[in-house]
Amino acid sequence: MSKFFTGKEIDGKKVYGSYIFTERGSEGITMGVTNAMYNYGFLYEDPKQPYHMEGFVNSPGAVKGLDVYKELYKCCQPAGLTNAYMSEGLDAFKSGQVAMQMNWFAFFPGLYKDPNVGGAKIGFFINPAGPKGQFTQLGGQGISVVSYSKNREASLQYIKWFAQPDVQQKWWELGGYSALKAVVQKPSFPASAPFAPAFLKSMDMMVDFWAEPLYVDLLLDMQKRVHDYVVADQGTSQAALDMLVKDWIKVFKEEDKKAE
Amino acid sequence: MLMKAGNDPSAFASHLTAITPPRLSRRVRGLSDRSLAWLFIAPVMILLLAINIFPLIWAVRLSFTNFKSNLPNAPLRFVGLANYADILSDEDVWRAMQVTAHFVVWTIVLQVLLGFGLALLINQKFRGHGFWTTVILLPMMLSPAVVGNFWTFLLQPQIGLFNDIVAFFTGIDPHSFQMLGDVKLAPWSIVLVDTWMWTPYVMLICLAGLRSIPEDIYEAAEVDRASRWRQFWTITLPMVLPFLMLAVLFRGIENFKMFDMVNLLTAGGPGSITELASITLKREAFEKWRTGYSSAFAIILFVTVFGAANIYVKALNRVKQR
Repeated sequence: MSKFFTGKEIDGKKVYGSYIFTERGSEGITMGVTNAMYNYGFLYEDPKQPYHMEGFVNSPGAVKGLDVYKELYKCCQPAGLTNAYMSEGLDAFKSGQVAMQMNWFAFFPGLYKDPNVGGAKIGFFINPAGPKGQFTQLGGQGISVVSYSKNREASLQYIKWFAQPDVQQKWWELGGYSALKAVVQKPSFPASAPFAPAFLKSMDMMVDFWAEPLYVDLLLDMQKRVHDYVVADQGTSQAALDMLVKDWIKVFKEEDKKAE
Repeated sequence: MLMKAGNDPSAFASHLTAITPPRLSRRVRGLSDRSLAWLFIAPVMILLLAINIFPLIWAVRLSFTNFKSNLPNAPLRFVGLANYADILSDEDVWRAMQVTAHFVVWTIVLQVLLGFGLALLINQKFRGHGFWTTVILLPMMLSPAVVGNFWTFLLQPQIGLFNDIVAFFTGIDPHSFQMLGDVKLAPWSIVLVDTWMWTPYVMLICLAGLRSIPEDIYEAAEVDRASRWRQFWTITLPMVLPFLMLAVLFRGIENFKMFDMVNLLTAGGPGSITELASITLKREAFEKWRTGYSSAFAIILFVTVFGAANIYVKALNRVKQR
């Protein structure tokens, strides 16, 4: 579908099929690429042996998933968007430069209301499936309480209040995103917003991050390796993921964790 | 009283003595010239020690440890030369150094050629040369962050002017190439932008050199029927050479530690194609928080620049003495 639209001239302007994340500085390209790689079998580690990454991070499926993402980038990404994340994607979509964009659900209420691209002109779909299943990357912000806060009790009470079903329902109605089952599993939920059915399906297929304290170092290494391959054409997908495994082993070894 | 005293310095001094508290006046009278000089430069020395020398010594100390700034309470371990060994055997570090070398060499070559050429032209003192000198100097008056930002837009393949200008002169499709996103063109993009910004600086230094050459040397050469080329080769170039070398030294040191403009322009991308050593250092120090490792990297860079600059200054002094 992306290839169909790419290169067409509409109103004298060249358009492109799709926009995907390519941001290098923080987390962008990793958030994008894992959407493809999960569906081809990428895992952070051996489920039976923690910190055993060889053969899981760089499995043949993971390599294929990375190649699929690169193919989509090469064929159909608008020229110049080599370091682009959320706002560039929104701009590309709202200006009519791309037919489809990858982005977070948080932006969809605003897109739906946009007079140029919203309303009846816009549709929403979930991450397409791959041979190993259909998954999507987790997004959003966590909420936590600082351990030395003077208002710990009040903060915890706030979280309890916010997590109540009626408050979460109100939050959804106001344009926020609730993942509470009491809200999303209501029969009326799919009809509550045009993007609600896609959101509901996405909630069911989310893959959590690797809840590892060294996640920042791991993320930065992955940003480098996948950007080098996808955007800068450095080496092969296999080499990129092999080097990523080496990077991650080094990170863990520096913290005296046994990794392989 | 003060106005009258102003006409007579000794009366003024007497007046000051009269109004100065006795204890202070005894103390100041007791200070020698040398002590007074130290007193005046002491604040600057303290500032230099605090923000230059002390951090340098501290960085050297940290470079032998496994310290991470985001884990200040973690046990500090002395790792000897392990950080240095890691850096010197890291392929990514060597790649960053190669990118930096490419950037430094090509910016210097282009800036010297263009800067010297512009200086020769401006030195002709044609009508309006003052105005054109000011116009040429404008790029270097901008902040590197601003330059990085607006060149990002200029080099955009879809909305930027650069591609259209190239297409106008060469006839190629403006959408067929992208300066910042192309692996082959991105390194030249940062060279181009830095050259645009700092050629005026080299021009200024060369202009100072050209204007320091006495006119009578050229008159004597004309009397001896030396051609323009001969005058340039035997008079202009040798006499401007120390200034040129100074410009090369300054630009070389600046570009070796270049960060802001390139970070805004490409963020080291695409991939790591334009990742200068300073960008790698920033990532290690302030993203991965590997303070010990990045301190060692900073020391290595400092020693490299310091050593190279020392050798170069010796060569410069030899040229000046000729």
